[in-house]
Amino acid sequence: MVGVMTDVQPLEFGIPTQNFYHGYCVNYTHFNSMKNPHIGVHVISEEDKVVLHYFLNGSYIHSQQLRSEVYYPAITAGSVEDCVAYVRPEKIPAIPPPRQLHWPQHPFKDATY
Amino acid sequence: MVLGFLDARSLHAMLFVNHSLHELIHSTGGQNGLWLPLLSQQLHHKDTEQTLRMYPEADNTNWKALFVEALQIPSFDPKGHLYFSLTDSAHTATLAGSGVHSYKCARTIKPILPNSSTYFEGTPTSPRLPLLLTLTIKLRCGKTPEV
Repeated sequence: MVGVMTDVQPLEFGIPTQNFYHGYCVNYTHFNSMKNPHIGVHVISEEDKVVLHYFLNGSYIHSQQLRSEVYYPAITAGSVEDCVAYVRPEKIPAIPPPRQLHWPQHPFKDATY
Repeated sequence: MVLGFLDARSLHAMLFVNHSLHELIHSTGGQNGLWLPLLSQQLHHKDTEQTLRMYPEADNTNWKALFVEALQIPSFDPKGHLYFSLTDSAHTATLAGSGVHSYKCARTIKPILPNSSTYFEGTPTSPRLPLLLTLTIKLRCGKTPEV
């Protein structure tokens, strides 16, 4: 799983929280029913906010705004043999115009760590 | 304007050093003598031989371009993650060991900078339960687009 996290968040935790946000937390059963779902996360950081835009198989899904922090690209795993890697992408999907963006409630918005 | 603050001797010395560095950076010798060792260090290899083995067509390899590209690919901290074993020049992290009952995280060495744009891609190779996923994540850094 992929997302961003701060250096405040511990490297070991029970549930993904606000600062580690990944696509499998939102409607993960939908993603899980698909064959080889391709999850894309576009992180845009400004001076006072960080915005994540999620894509599934190249199509835009939803967006999420995080609080102002210093974030690190991060991965998480919960079982032996889980494997993740960072390499350069071949193609980056386009972010829709502002009116077409979707901002669902984050399932772990109030979780603390 | 900046050079106007330097006296003639300092300016001459700076130009001499700059010319030598420019020749080194762009010369054929600089490819193997400068950029290849820098790339090897960036990829956390033991030596340049290990880096050369990664690229079979080493004679035509632009080590400078590969080094610049490697700077944009986040790598995990080799000393910071007890539960992960790192491979592929610290760009791949594999959860290792038994007795894992909760989420374990691995973060990269360098943070996401303000006013920047970073893109990740993840492709699970097996559609299993969320806790049993294998992902390949792709990333690219660039200028912040207008949304």
